[in-house]
Amino acid sequence: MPPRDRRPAPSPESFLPLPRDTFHILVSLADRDRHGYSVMQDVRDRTDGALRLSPSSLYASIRRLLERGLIEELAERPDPEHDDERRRYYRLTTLGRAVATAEARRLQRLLADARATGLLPKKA
Amino acid sequence: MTRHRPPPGSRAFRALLALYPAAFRDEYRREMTLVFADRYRDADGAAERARLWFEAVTGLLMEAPKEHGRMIARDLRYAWHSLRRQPMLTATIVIVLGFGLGANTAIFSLLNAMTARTLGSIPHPDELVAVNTREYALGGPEGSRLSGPMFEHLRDAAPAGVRVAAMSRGIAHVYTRTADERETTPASLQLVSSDFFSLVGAAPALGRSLPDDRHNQAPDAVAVISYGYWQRRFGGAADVVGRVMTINNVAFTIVGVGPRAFTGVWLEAPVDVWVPLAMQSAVKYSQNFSADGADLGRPWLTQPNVWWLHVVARVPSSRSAVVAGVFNATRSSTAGADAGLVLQPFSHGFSQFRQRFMLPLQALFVMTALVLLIACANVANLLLSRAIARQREIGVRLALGAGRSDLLRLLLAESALLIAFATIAALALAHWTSGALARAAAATADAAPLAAPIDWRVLGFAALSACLSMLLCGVFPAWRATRVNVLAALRSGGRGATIRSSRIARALVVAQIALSLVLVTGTGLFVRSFHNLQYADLGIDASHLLSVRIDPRLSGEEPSRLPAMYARVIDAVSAAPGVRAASFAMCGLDSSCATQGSYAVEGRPPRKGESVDFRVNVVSPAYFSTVGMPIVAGRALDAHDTATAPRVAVVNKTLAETYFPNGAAIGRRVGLDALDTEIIGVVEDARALNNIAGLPAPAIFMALAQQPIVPRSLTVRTVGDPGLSAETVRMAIGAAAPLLPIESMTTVDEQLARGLSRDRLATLLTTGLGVLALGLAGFGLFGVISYAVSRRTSEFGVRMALGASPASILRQVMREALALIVVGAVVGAPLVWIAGRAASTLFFGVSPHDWITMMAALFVLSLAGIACSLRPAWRAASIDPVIALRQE
Repeated sequence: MPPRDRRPAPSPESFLPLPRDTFHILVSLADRDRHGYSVMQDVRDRTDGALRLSPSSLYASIRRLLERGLIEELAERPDPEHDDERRRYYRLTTLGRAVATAEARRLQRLLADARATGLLPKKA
Repeated sequence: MTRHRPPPGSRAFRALLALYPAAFRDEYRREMTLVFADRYRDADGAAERARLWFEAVTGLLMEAPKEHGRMIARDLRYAWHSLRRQPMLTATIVIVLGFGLGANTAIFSLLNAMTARTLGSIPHPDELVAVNTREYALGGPEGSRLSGPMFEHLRDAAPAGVRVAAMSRGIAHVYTRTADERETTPASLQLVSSDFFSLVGAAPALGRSLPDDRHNQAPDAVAVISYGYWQRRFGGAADVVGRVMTINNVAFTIVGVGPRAFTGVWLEAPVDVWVPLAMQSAVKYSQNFSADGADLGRPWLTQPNVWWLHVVARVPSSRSAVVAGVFNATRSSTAGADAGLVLQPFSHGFSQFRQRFMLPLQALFVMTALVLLIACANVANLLLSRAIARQREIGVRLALGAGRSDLLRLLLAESALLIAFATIAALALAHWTSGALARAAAATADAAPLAAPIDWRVLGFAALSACLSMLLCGVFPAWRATRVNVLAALRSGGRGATIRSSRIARALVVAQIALSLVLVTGTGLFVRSFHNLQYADLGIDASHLLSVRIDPRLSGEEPSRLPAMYARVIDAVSAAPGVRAASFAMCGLDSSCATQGSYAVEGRPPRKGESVDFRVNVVSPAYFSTVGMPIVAGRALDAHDTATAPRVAVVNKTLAETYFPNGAAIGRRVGLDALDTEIIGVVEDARALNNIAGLPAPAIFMALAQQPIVPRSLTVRTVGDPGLSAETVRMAIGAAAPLLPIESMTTVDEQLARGLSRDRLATLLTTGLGVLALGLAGFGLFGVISYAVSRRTSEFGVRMALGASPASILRQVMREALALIVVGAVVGAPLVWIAGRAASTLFFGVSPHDWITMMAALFVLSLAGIACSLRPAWRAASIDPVIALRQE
């Protein structure tokens, strides 16, 4: 059995700011569980093709997110009818969701600041 | 469920994933390949596919190194935690390896400093070559010697673009005085040709260089002084050019000041004053020469048979073969085709250090390499026993699914970390010891200490040695540790030492003992050689002797009145209180006399091509009794051998035995041009104090009164401590010849100690290395025997329960230790023989295959081995059978 970790759980704020790719992956997993290619497509679609993750950067980020406990791999396939049995699916953990939310709030505050200083119009 | 055929290209992508660390690859390869295949399938057109490939490859090249770095950092972190759990073992390994690597790096940094030093202040030093004859090529550029006419020929024959310059072989100590000074001041002087400064690219900082000396123009009494001398002696005075300064009583005009930082081409002997070659006889330069039938009283520059010059050329590298050919053609036309010329690289300048220490340092380097090997064997053994002790842990990890490659990497990370620590310790040790060694070596050579910095070459060497050590002592134990039978490891509860592992451990100890035998024997040989040097029969009675260096030519006396002055000095010194006798000689006891060649020997016509070389000394009557050189036949030189009496000489035993084998030397004649000198006595062979190890050469002693030679040495035999009589002797000389300058005054014991200082240093260092090797081998034996005893605790317990006595257990363990020592000795003996053959020139008076030394080494090694095995053996004998069996 691995030794019990006695350190307190990390606060979501301690992960901020998130790297760009990481945040996009977390956002893409916010509404549903996805496999790697689905994440990649979602990111590409949401950014209108501006951000295209390569397999290498995608899986390096996934490995880091798994290690930090922000996402987890699913044991069962959510949609076995339409999918290849070999694919792995990922889901946000509670911590992951909290971190993604905290990052979104941070960006929101930043946006509000930009509006307050006149950098952006008051109402989008 | 849908099945996709892998699209073209995904196999290539899959292959590219080999760039990732195995752990990452195993985890994500399939997923990544699937994603790539999906994107490939969805891509529209060739441009999109090309873009996909581009993104995939760049992403891979960016991410794979990061993953490797992450894995390495993780392994090192684990390794650090694992090492911290066993601080004693970690410290031991770091210390053992640190010593091995440190000793090696220290000697390497000295070798590096010696070979890497170039004539830094000279532009394009690689274009410089020294012209040497084949005869002296082995001695390096320092050994070269050419005559004045030879230099002129080479200079005239040099193709366009090639410059040739000459300089005196020696740097002379001279006395200088400016117009407003009364006392003289010593300075170092070198005679150089006019091209010297332009050849070495040393444009004068002030004034001009020496005037052109081609085609025997009338020489000017002019001098160029060094920048440092200008600052020291003249306080950097701007009007120094044009001032007159006497050098050995001859007035010279200073025409220029050399550039800053330029002190000549001898690395450790800076020059203060340079004067033209043609001023040789004016400044009374008479050192570092060879001559054959020359009139040494006449200027040397025009004489073809006085070899007193180094010749250096600046040759563009592409033309060196052409130039060598041209020079050789010149040589054959002027001096016969007897000896060819070779061009030797001169970018490193001349170095006393290199001459003196290259060979001993190379020997020491080999010894430190052996020490490193022993240290590696030792550490390999420690790591191996550690790996065996961790068999259960490794078995558990494997059973839980860890890959062998992961474990191997982890264990290698541990060794890498250990070696990194050891390398840091080694560099610190090397930095400290090489500095101390350089100072000690400089002290033996009367030279400025050599800076031995830790530069990139030393760091590179340390890194290379560390990698080799890693290969030798880290990789094998790690590989061995992961070859574990998981079931057996788990079942044996971590005590499953295999017979093979203990065999390997024993083999490593045998290797250590064998290598230690080589080192300890080497140390023994060095110690015996040094002892022999210290107590060598010098052929003189060295105690109570004071050696005074003088230069009568600077005494202001007319040459015709010098003999009278000699007599006055001898009488005054001999009459001084505490002095027993005094005598003049051309050559002191601490120098090898100039050799003059091709003597004719009565009754022995020279063989074809033979050159009969004698060491020549010219001495005053009481010389042999003063220095304590026993006469073995005939008589000594005496007061009757005057200028008008028939010319006589005394020869040494080697000359008498070589040229008159029937013992008939007395009464025979020798001579340079004619058989004009009669041998009247034979003396015991004497060794030169600066080269005690040198073989005695045929030597001839002429009478001072009968030779036009100026003596440079006064030897004084005192009643008591010669050091205490120095002042009395100085006053006596001052009373008899007030203007005779005394260059130095040392006791012969001091000269002897200085002559041996290099060997003393080498002996001290080899002894240190021998002790280190002995300690390491003993430690290795201790470790292996301790380990074997701890493994067999229960076996010993059972035996004792069955009635075996503690003494019999003790005997059994000691028998095993002795067996290892014996096997080590058997393996080591041929190595000792091979090493002895390679190092035979380093020892004096002892054969490199001296069996007494080897036996003594074996004895010391066995004693150390037995001492180190006693404790574990005693522990085995004091096992309590009840406790041992309960443990089982």
